[in-house]
Amino acid sequence: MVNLYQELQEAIVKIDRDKLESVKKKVLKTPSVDVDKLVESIRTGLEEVGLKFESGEYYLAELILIGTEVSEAVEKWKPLFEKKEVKEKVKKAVIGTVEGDIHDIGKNIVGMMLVSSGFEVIDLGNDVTADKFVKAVKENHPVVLGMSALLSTTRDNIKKAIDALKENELRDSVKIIIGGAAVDDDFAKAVDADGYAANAAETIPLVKELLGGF
Amino acid sequence: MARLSPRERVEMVVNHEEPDRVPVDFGGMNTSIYEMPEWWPNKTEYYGYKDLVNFLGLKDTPKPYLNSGNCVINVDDRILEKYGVDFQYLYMSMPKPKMHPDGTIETIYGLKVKPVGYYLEVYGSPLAGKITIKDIDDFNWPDPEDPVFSAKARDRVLKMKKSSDRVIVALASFAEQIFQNYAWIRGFSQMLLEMQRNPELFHYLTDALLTVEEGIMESFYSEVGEHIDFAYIAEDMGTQQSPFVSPKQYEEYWKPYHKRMIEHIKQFTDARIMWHCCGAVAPLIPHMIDLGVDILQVIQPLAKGMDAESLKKSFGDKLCFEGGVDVQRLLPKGKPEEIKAECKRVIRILGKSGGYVFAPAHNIQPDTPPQNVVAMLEAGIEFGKYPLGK
Repeated sequence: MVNLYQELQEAIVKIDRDKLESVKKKVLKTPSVDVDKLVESIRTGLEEVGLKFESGEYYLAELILIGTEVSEAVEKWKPLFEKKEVKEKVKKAVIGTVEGDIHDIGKNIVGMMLVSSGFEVIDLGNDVTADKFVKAVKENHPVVLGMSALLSTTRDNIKKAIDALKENELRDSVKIIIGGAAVDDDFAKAVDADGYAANAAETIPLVKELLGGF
Repeated sequence: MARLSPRERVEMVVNHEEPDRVPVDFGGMNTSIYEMPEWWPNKTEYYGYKDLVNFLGLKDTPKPYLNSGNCVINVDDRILEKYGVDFQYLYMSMPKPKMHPDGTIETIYGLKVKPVGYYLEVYGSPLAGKITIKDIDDFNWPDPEDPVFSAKARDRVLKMKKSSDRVIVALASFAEQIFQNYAWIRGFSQMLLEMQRNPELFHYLTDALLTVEEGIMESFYSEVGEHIDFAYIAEDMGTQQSPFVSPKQYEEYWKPYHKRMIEHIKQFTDARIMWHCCGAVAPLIPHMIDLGVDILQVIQPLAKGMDAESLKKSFGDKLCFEGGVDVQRLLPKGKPEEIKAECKRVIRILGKSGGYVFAPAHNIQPDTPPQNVVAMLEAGIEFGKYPLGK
C-alpha cells in the first residue's frame, strides 16, 4: 500500500503519464485506499512540480499537462472522495481573473492545484466584476477567494472587489489571496488581501498557511 | 560620422557595426502607443496617443488609425521626425470583420473578439472542444486567393517608399504566426495539451494552418517583396518566467514550422526577418538565431533572463535586439529622470558594437503619462549617438 502513494507522487513529480495511468487504475482497484494519503501525495507531488517550474526545469506546457492529468485522475476517484465527504465538509475556493482582464492560465493552474488538494473550486472564469465575486462569496461560503490580474491597468479591480466585499460585510468571512504579473506583496498589503503568491506553485503552501493547515 | 539614412543605419546595426546613432523604432507594430477607439463601449480614463499629441503641443494631427491592439499605426510624422524614428510598417489588408448581435466581432479564422477593459480579447475559439481530422478539413479556412490580401499592396508600399526613406517592415497580419493562431483557434491550454497528448492531431492542424498562411503570404509578399526591408513574424513564446514550451519541445514541435514559414517568405523577398516575441524566451534564442532571425523585438526586461546585460553577453554578436525599455513598471510608474537614466543604461549595454534598435519593450500602455513617453523618446536622441559613453 505504501508504494501506491509513493508511486503516485513519483508519477506526478516526473510527469510520467504512463505511470500515472497505471496508478489511476490501481487506486480504483484498492478498496482500502486512504484518501487523505492520496491527497497528501498529490499535494506533495504538485508542490515539487511547482518548484521545478520555478527553478526552470519544467515549463508551462508540462505544468498544464500534469495539472490536467491529476485533475482527471481526481475526477475518476470522485466516488472515493465522496465517501469521505460524508464525514467532513469539503472546503470551497472561489477563483477568478478580475474585470477587464482575460488572462487565465495562471488562475486555471491554481484551480487545478486546489482541486488536487481536495478543494471544491468554483471558477468564475475571467473578466469577473466585483459584484460577481461578492455574489459567489455570498452563495458559496468559500474559505478562500483567489483573484488574479495580469495587467497593470486591471489590478485596481482587485481593490474594487475587496472593497465591495467589505461593503457587504463579507470580507472577514474568507481568506483573500491574489496573484498575477501585475501584483506583488506590497500591493496585496495595500489592498488588504491576506496573501500574495508569485506563481501557482506558491499558492498551495500559502493557502495552507492562511488556513492553518487543511 | 556623417548622418546616415535609416536604411544604412539599420543595416549597420544588424551587421553589428556602429553607425552614426542607435536606430529608433516607435509607432510600429508593438512599439506604438495606446488609443481608445471612438466606438469603444464603457469608456474609462486612460492616457493615450491624444495626450502625447497635446503634451507636445501639436495641432492638426491626422486622425489616428488603430491596429488590432488599439495602438496607433499613423503616429504624426512630426513626432517620428523629431525623435529620429527609422522604421515604418506596411500592414496587409484583411477581410472585413463581421459584427454579431452579442457584441462580438468575428475576424479572420472565425475568431471572435470583443472589447474587454482596454483591449479586444479573444472570446470564442472556433475549433474548441473535441475535434477530429475531419473537423479540420471541413473548417471554414480563409481563401488565400481572396483579393483582399494583395489589395493595393504594391501601390501602398511604393507610396510609402516615396514619401519616406524609413526602413519598411511588412506584416502579413495574422498569417505571420502559427503558435498564436493555433492557440486562438483551438484554445491556449488545449494547444499545449494536444502537442503532448495527441501529436497526430497537433501536426495535422499545424500543417493545415500553415498551408493556408503560406497561401496568404504568397498573395501579399509576391506584391510587395521587392520593396520591403523586413518581413515581420509575430509569435509570443513566453511567460514572464520562461518559454511556454521547453526548448526541447520547441525544437520538436514548433521549430520545423517556423523554419518552413521563414523559407516560404524568403521565396518572395530578400528582406530580413524581424521576430516579435514577448516574454522570457532566452532559452529559445539559439533556435531563433539558427532560423536566421535578424532582429528580435521586443526584449521585455522584467521577464526572467531578458535583462540587457545577459542578453548582450550571451547573444550580442549573433542577433540584433530591439526594445528593452520596460513598459510594465518603468514607463507607467517611473519619473521622467528615472526613465532617462534607465534608457541611457540600456542603450549603452545593448548598443555596444551595434546590434540594437532603441524602442519600448512593447506598446505604451494606457496607464503611461505622456511626459514619460517623451522622456523615453528624448533619451533615444540624447544617449544614442555613437560613440556611446560608458
